[in-house]
Amino acid sequence: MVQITRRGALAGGAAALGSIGALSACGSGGGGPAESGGGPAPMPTYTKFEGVTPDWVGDDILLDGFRSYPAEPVAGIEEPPGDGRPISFITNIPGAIPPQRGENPFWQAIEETIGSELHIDMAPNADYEAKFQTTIASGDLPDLINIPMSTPDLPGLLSATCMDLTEHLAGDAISAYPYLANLGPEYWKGCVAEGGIFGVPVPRLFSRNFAVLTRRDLLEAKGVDPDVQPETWDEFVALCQELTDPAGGTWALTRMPGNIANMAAGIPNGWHRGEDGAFTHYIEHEAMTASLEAQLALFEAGVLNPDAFLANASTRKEWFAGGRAALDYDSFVAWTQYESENIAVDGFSVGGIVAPPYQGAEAVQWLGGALNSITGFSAASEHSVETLLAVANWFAAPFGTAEHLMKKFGIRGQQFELEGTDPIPTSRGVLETGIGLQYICDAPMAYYFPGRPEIPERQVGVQERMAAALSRDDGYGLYSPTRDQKAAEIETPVWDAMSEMVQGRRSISEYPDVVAAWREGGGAAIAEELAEAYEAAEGA
Amino acid sequence: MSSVSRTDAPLRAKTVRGDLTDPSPPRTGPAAAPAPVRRRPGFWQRLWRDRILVLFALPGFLVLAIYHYLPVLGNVIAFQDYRPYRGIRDSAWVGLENFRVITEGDPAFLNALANTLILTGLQAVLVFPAPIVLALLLNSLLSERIKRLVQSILYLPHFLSWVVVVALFQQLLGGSGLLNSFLRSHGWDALSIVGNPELFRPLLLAQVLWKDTGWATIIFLAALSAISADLYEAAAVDGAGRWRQLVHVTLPGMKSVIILLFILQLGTSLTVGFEQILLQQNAVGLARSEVLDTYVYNRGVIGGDWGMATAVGLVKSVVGVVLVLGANKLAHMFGEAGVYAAREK
Repeated sequence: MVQITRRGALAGGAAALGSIGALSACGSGGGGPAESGGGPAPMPTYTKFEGVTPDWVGDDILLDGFRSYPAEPVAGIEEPPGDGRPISFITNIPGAIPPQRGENPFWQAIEETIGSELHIDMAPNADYEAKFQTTIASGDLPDLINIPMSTPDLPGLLSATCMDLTEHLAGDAISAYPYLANLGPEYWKGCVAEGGIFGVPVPRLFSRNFAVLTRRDLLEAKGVDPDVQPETWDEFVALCQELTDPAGGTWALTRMPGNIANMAAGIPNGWHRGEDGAFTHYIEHEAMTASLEAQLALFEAGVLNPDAFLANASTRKEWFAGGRAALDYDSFVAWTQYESENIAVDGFSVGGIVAPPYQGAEAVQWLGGALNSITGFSAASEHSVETLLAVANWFAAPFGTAEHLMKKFGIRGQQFELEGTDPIPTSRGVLETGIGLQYICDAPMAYYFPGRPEIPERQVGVQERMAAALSRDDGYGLYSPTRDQKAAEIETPVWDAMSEMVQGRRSISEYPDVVAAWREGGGAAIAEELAEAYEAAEGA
Repeated sequence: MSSVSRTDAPLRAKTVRGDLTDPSPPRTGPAAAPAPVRRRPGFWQRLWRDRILVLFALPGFLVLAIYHYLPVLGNVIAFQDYRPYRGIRDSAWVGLENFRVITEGDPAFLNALANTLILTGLQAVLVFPAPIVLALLLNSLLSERIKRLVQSILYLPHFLSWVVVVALFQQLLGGSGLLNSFLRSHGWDALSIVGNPELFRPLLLAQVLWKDTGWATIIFLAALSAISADLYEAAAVDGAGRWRQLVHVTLPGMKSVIILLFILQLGTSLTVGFEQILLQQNAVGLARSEVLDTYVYNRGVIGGDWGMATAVGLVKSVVGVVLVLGANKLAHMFGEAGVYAAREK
C-alpha cells in the first residue's frame, strides 16, 4: 500500500505542478539560522525571504497561503545567471509533451532571461526512472541531473557523479544565493551524501500530506455537509456507506486509504525513533493490526469501488473527477490538480477529511516527504559551480517574485492573462510551460489558486487540522545500506500480505508472522543502521 | 529466434542456388581430385559474386549484431555488484554471488519459478494447439469471402497492446464492469472475475487466446494450403471420410511446421506474458502472479539489484537455448527437420 502511495504521490505531485502553477512557492519560516541537522555536513544558513507577505502565514513546516498574486511582483535578480553557453538538463515532465524548443516561445523567453540556452532532455513521469538509469549507465551526463528519491544507492551516486556543493552552500556561504537560502534545513537534509551537500532540493513537505479528498458538490447533492469531518472511524465508514450506491455504479472510495487508517490507529510515520534511541518501522507497530481491521471494515462495508485494487492512478482519478466516487485518497498536490483540471465543470469543488481516530486511538497526521527529487550538477560539467548555483537560485524564486511569475506562468498576453492581479494561464500557456523547470530547483510550495481564493483557504484549513498531530519520519535524511539494498525485496511480501488481509483473503492474525519475516530478512538490520546513522549525525 | 531464421534465409538460398560451386566438399584438396576443371572460388571472389545478396542481408545483420549480439556482452553484470553510475568497468566483481537466489532457492524466486512453469505448462497444453484447431476450422470454410472476413477479424486483437487488452477485460468483466453492472441492475450478485486470485490463471489464458490465436493461425494456414489437393482426392478415392482425411493427410502435412513452431516456442517458454501480468499484478497478489520476468523486473529494475536480475535472466536464456537445442536434436532423431536441418554426414 505504501508502495502505491509513494509512487502515486510522486506522480501526483509532479502532475499538479506542471498543470497550473497553483501550488507554487514562497516559504517563510521560523527564521534564524538552521539547527545543524545533517551530521558532519554543515547545513546552509536558513534566511527566510521577506519580500512578500502571505495571507496565511506558515512556518518552517507549514506552508504559506495566498489569496491572490501580488500586484507588483518583486524583482530580485538583476543579472542573468547563465554564462551564455548552453546548459543541458535531464528531467521528467508530469503533463503533456510540450512544444519543443524551436516552437516554444515560453522556453525561448526563459532562455533569454537566464542568459543561457536550456537543452532539456525530458521523459514522461512514468518512464523517467528507466531513462534516468540508462543515462547514468551511459556515463554521458547533462549539466543538471534531476535525481528521483527512489534511486538505489543515492548517496553513492551523488558523490560519484555530482559536484560537491558544500563549500559554496554551507553556513553563510549560501547568502550569495538568497533564494536557495530561503529553503529550510528540512529540505537540505535530503541532499546530503557522504558528509557533503551534493545537490539542490525540489521541495514538497506538507503538500505531500495525504487526506481523504471529498467532492464537496457531490456531498451536498446527497444532503451531507460538504465540509464534514467525521469524529471517529465508524462515522467515516457510515459516511462512506451513505455515499455508496452499487446499483447506480457509484462507490464512495476510489481506493483503500491505507495510510489514513494507519494515522487513524495512531501509528507514527515511517521510521520512528523511540525514547531509548531505537528505531522501529511503522509496519511493526502494534497498532498495525488495528489499522488492518479498520481497512477491512471499509472493505466489508462495500464502499470501495470493486475494481479499487485493479485501477491505476489515471483510472482512479477519472472515477473521482467523473463523479463515480465522492471520495479519493491523495495529497494536497492532487487536490489542486483536481481543481485546475476540472475548472470548467460547474460546481466542482474539492475538500479534505483528515484521518479520524479509530476505536479511541489518538490519530496522528503523517508529514509528507520533504523532497520530490534532488537535482545534482554533473561533476563533468564545463560550467562553473557558481553559474549552475546561480541558475538553481533563479529557479528557486519564491511566490510573488518576478522570477516566480516568469517561470511558472510565463509572459502576460502569451502564456497568461491577468484577472485582477491573478495570472490565469491560457491554454497555450498550460502546454508551453510544462517543460519541467520546477525540477531544476524550486521554492517551498504555497497554497494558491489563481482566481479562486476559497481553494487555498480550504487547504489551509485542512493543514491547520493536521498540524496539531503531525508525525515525522525520523528515518528521513539517514542512510542505511541495508535499506537501500533490501527494502524493496523485504517490503514487497509485507505490502502483498496487507493487500490480501484488507480484502479478507488472509487472516489479519497472521500479520505478526509477516512482520517477523521482514525483521529477519533485514528490517532489524536497517533499524540498527538508522540508529547508528542518527548517532553519527547528531553526535557531530 | 525468428529473426535469425529470417536473415538466414537469403544466405541459404544462395548456397542452394550457387550453381557455380563445386558440389564436392572443400576438404577435397587438389591432390585428391585429379582433374578439377574449376577451383572453388575464394572468399573475396564469392563475396563479390554475391554482393547484391550480401547487401540485402547487411541491414538485418547489423540490426542483429548491434541490438541482439552486442548487448549479450552486458550479461557480465550478472557476476558483478553492478551500480549504473560506476559502470561495468568499475563495479565490484562478486563471482557467483548473484546466482545464490537460484542455487539456494530464495522462496520468492521459487514462487516465481513455480508460477512460470505452471503457466508454461498450461500454455503448451491449451494455448499452443488453439491456432491449429482454428486453422483447421477456417480451412474447412467453403466461402473464400467469409474465410477472409473471419480471418481479418481474428487477426485484429493481435495489434492491440496489452494495456488495451487488459483494460478491455476489466471494462467487461471487472467488479464495476459491464457484466457486473448488468448483474447488479437485475438484482443478482456480482461475480468476482478480474482481480480474483483463484481465476487469475484462466483469465491470463483467456486473454492470450483472445489476443493471439487468430494471428498464430497464419503460419498453419500457409502449411495447410501447401498440402496437395491430390492427396485429398486420393484419400477420398480410397474411401477416407473427412475425419480420416484429417488424421492421415492434413495433420501429417502440417507436422513439420507444428514441430518447428513448438521448438521455437520452447525457447521462450519461460517468458510468460511480462507486460500482461505486470499490469494485473497488484490486484491478485504475488503468490499467484509473480513469474520470472516480473520477479526480475521488480527486484532488478525497481529494486535496483541489477546483478541478481541479470543472473536470473541469464539462467533463463541458457535454459531456453538448451531446451531449443535439445528439442531440435530430439526432432532429428525422429527424422524431422526441426528448426534447421540435421548436418549431413
